Amino acid sequence: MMKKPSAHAILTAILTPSLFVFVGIPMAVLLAKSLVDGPAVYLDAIRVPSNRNALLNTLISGLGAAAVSLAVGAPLGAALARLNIAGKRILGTLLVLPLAAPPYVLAMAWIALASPRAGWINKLAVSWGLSSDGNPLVDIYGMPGIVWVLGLSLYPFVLLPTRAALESADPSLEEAARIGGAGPIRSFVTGSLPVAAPAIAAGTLTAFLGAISAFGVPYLLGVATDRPVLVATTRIYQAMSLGAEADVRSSIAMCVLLLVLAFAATFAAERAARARSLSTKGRRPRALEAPGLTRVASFGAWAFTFVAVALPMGATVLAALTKRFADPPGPGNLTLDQFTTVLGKADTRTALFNSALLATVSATLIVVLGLAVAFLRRRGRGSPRVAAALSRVSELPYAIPGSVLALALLLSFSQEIRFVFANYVTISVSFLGTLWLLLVAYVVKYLAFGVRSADNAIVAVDPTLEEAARISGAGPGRAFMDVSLPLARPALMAAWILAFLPAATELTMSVLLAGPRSQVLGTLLFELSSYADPPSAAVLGCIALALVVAADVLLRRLTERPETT
Amino acid sequence: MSVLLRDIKKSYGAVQVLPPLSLDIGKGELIALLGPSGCGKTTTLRIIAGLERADAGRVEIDGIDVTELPPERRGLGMVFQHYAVWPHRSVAENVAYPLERAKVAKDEIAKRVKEALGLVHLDIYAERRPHQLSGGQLQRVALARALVGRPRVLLLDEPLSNLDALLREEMRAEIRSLQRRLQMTTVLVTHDQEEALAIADRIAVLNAGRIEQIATPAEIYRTPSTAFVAGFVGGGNVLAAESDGTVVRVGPASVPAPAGSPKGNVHLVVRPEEIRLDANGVAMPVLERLYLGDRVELRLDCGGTTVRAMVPARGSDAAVPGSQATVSFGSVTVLAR
Repeated sequence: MMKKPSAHAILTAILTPSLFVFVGIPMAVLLAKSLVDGPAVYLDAIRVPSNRNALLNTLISGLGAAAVSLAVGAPLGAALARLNIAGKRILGTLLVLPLAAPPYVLAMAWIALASPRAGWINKLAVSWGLSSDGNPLVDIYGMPGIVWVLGLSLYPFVLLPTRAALESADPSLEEAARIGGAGPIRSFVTGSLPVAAPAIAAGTLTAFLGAISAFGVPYLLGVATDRPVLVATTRIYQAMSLGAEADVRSSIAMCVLLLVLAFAATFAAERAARARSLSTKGRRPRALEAPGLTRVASFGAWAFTFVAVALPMGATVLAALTKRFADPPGPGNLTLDQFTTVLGKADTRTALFNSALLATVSATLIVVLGLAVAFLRRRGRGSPRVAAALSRVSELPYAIPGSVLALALLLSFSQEIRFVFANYVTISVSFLGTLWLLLVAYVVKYLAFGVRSADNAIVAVDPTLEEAARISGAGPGRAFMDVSLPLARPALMAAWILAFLPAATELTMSVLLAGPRSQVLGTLLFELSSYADPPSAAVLGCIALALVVAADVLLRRLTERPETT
Repeated sequence: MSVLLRDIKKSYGAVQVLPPLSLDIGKGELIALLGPSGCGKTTTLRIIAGLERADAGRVEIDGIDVTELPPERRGLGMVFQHYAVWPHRSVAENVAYPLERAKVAKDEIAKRVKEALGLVHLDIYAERRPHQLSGGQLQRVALARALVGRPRVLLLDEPLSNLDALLREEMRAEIRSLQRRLQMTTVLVTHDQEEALAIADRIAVLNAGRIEQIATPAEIYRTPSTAFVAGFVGGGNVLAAESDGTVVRVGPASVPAPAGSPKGNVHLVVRPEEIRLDANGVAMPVLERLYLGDRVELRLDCGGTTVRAMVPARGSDAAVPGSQATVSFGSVTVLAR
């Protein structure tokens, strides 16, 4: 008797080869190409001073940004968790915004604020007599600027886990210290802080990973300047755009080195996160009774929010509204013309349309694929090991730096692929410079969001709810669609937004993969801000920020009000 | 036979849950699978449902071999321990689902949903959402959903264990009268011996995957066939004793051996209420006295073994810890040891 193939078999048959083609092959090609000339290519790559400096700078910017993230994120996370600081709810929202804002928009904002000649801070300093024209007060270009801006965009990776760990720490640990005679602050330091240490370490490593993978910030602040400071990602981009054979080969080698560093950081972060323990459900620790410290923390948190969030966002909006960029923004120097001009341009419209289309399609694919993996893993009757492996492989690419993933895809799919049928009909497909290649890149890179969210959502649905549907006459697929899917919907919509946002503003991969006819928001913005037209770039930056704020509001509505119907 | 299990085997990894188990369930019968947790009763029920696959053996429902059929094609109704009422569907939508899956016409669905909700007295709650209902009401929704498709067999997985004591007794009676009225073949899984005794036509007592005894509630209670059954059902005293065929001796006490009972080393089974205060009986030290209102539970030292006795409260005032109570044994069961 022929059996109807099960949903499980069909899904496994689709997922496994797709993951192999779009994740396995590119990584294999990258490794293979790096080893064509033997391992010596790595030595060559390091021996060339510009490469060696780039790798060194990557480490410096990574460690620097991680240090800034730790210095800022851990105290803020602790304050939000355990002190009754003023405006806690709003702070909790504002302080996480930089996580969703494209980092290169922050970099642009800081250029407007603190570039040596035209930066508004420097102009203000000159007009107040604090500095002179040739001797700027602050200079955002170069390594310190890169570390500063990366730190300010990555600190939420430390803040969020610190806050979560401290809020779920067992209060009795601290109470024991109080009974033992310690004051509230001392009890916190000895009782609760050690419990949060693994989470803080994991967050710091994630920030490090983000910094070494960053492209937009180190490019805008390190390349488009008189004294270039290259990191690995910008060096790879430069070498690829120059296109000389030797450069390409050393780029590939650098990619592999960057990949090793990224995987090491990811692995360490996962290890650290797993060490977390000793948390209890139910009882939450109370706010610390330390009025002096609370006042200081309130002031510090709001001052930081002003500098890290309000200032760059305000600068982006002002830059978009400023008539003459060289003059400080003021009542006579504001206009909406730039919005109409920029949005009226054909290439802007094409880029916005491409980004919207790509982000929509990739977010949808990511959620659907994530759901399929979750279904196989949690409801499948097949081997749980295969399903767990599928889930692992689909989460892996998130740890691959965008530049590395893009280069690997470029190497794997740059040739025309010819399908020859019956010797005379030839169909040739070329992904190069098309939206398809970008789509593949976005889906692969952000698939982890879909897989994780869908898995969490499906695990939360009691399996007997589906069994009740089975008994009622529904097949396994039908039961999943009728029961688990509707119950998981809010979480899946949140996952969709989480995947849409970075895809809509993606730069790092797009800059390597987009062709002249497949420009997206990120690449257009990048072009405008690094070469020609900062005010127009600011307009696009405003659009990106508006998207971030809208997504944040939507996410909050989805997660704060669980579906009661 | 309505449900027939033949040599069902099931292991999880190295742990054998069901050694070959066979069971026949008659048409219209309510059978209770009773046993402690981990005895295999739930696994047996899930194998009947098709939610678990047996490693070996055969399952028949109404004479049809369903061993290879998935749950949706077995024509069953099931009530789950935690109700499993779908939170995103209204009461009526929950109950309508099995009919929708069976492609029943719309107006027919409406009629039968109304009927089913009427059976469980939930007519006025049809449009409510599950989160607006109490535990007992959710239980009724689950029951209506299980019955609406006119299943061949109704499966109940610990359906009352999440209700409070009063509601549990009420639902128990209601399930029994519904089942009788509909002549529905029903398999009830429970660890509550009182529940099983109260509503089952027959009880299968399971221990470590084996059926220790399968019989009517009265038989199970009065003539347990193993020491396990005697101890699990009704909290009987199972005492190591010796019998010469005419008299069974345990500690200071002796009782006449029932006709045809085994000799030598035996288990003497005495229900607590079969131990009576009797001035002509044997004296035993009272260890503990628990006041239960109309009755008193006494713990007595019967030659080094503690026995439980349930005596009327009236006239038991003298039996306090430290004193001696004189008791006699009523009807007993003797099992080979």
